[in-house]
Amino acid sequence: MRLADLQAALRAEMDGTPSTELRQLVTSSSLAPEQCLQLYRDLLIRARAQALQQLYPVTARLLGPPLFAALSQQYGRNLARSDNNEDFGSGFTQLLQECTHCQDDLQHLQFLPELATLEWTLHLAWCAGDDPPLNFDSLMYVPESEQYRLRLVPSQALQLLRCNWPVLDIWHNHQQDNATELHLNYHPQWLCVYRQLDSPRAEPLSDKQACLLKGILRGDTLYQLGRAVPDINQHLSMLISRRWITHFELPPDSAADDDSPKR
Amino acid sequence: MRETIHWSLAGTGVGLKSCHVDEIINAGEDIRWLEILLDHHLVKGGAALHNLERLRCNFPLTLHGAGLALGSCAPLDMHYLARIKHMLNHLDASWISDHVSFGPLGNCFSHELLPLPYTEEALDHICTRIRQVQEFLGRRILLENPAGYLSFSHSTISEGEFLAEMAQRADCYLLLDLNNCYVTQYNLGIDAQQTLARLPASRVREIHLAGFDDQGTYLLDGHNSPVHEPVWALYEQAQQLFTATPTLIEWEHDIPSLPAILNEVSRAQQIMQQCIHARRRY
Repeated sequence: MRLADLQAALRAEMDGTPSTELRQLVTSSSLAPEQCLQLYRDLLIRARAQALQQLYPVTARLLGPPLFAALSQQYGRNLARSDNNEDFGSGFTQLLQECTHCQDDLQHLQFLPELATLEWTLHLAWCAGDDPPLNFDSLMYVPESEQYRLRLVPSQALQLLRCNWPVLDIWHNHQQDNATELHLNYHPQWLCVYRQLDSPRAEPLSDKQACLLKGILRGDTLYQLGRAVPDINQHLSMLISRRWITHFELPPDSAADDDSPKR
Repeated sequence: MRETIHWSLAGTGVGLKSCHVDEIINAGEDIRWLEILLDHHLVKGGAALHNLERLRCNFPLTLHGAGLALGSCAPLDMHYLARIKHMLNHLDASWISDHVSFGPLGNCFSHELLPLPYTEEALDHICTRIRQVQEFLGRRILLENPAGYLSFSHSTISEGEFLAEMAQRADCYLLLDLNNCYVTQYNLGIDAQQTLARLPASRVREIHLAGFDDQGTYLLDGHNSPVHEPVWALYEQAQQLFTATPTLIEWEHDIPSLPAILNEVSRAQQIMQQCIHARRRY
């Protein structure tokens, strides 16, 4: 059997498709070929579940070990886009979205895709690139007439989430196995996920704060931000003190949009 | 291959676990070097990277990965390789190691190391890829013998011969995992001593020691317990063959307190010293 064919057959066996030719080649001192292959299959399932469990600890706790293991196996077989820990779990929320819609045993966990999104975003914040220290001096060199074009550059760890369920409360309450009962109210809210002193964190935002942050993440100019949030000055100091803003940039003139102040 | 000299290391090291970082920084001379699980630390920033940067000041570091898939027939992941190269240079790691196995294939991914047949075709294939990786990284890499749970009846080369030939042809180094040797011996009947005897001493640059899980009919490379006595016995033989080879205590699951791991470090260090003294006497 050629190496490429053997690897394809072994891979198929790992996902449950038997290969007679491969089984005829497999030997061991104490186990039958099928037992050998099942051993690798079990190791693979366990490794996938462990990798996802580290990324989605609260989601895993709420699903329970058997269901979580089944979902992680389904995910690893069909949806995982990368083996690397940094982005291995990126599509798991999509699977949860599909499952909570169509599986009866998950009807009471409709919030799960949003909770998993929060956990994934916290993971991204944990491993995001480091930001340079904010340098106000650079502002001195921006002419007053150009300041409306300034863009505020957010921290690399910063992300904004819109949730329909109180997932931050659920996440806090289920850090331990002996969690309190779920009190689920439909409760739309904005969450900001960020990193502070190397620790990923999440906190709720007001609609106005979220509007400002959304504009910053979109790359809006200071002028556009000011139009969307008239009392921007009150919020900017908070964003800077939390290190959610890492620096300012002045895009090239040609990139200036039509949305500029009329003078 | 001409290489830059990186931090040299000697003696017995430990695998870094995030729960031990602060203790390790204060452990002083009990720890001589640290091995980093590469795939848990390939991050752009944050705590994982900052911890490595702190430790880098006091300890030589080695990187140990499972994602190169050197035996795989899928193309090499150049993006992954580029990130490894950046990490190697950023931390000035002493070396990087991976496994004689294949993992990802096409668009299906695994976190498990799947076995290769020991054939001429597999040998040619893995040697070509090792050379490509070494060329890209600008340094030799170390390849570890896997724990065996099955073998292929069309294999034409013994494990020891395969490893020795691979090291010579690809001009790479070997990481000898003695727990894997013992597990393979138990599960597949491959004599561990014969495997050791086949290996060229000049190519063996690191030894791994770990605990296995006895599942009754087979042994599992569990990395969740102290090193077992038969593996210590193999270690004494290995240190006679490959004197003063840097040795790592691996413990990945059910991680104990750092002092429990340092007990294992101390025993390995003693055996290494005894072999060094014995060699000097003769």
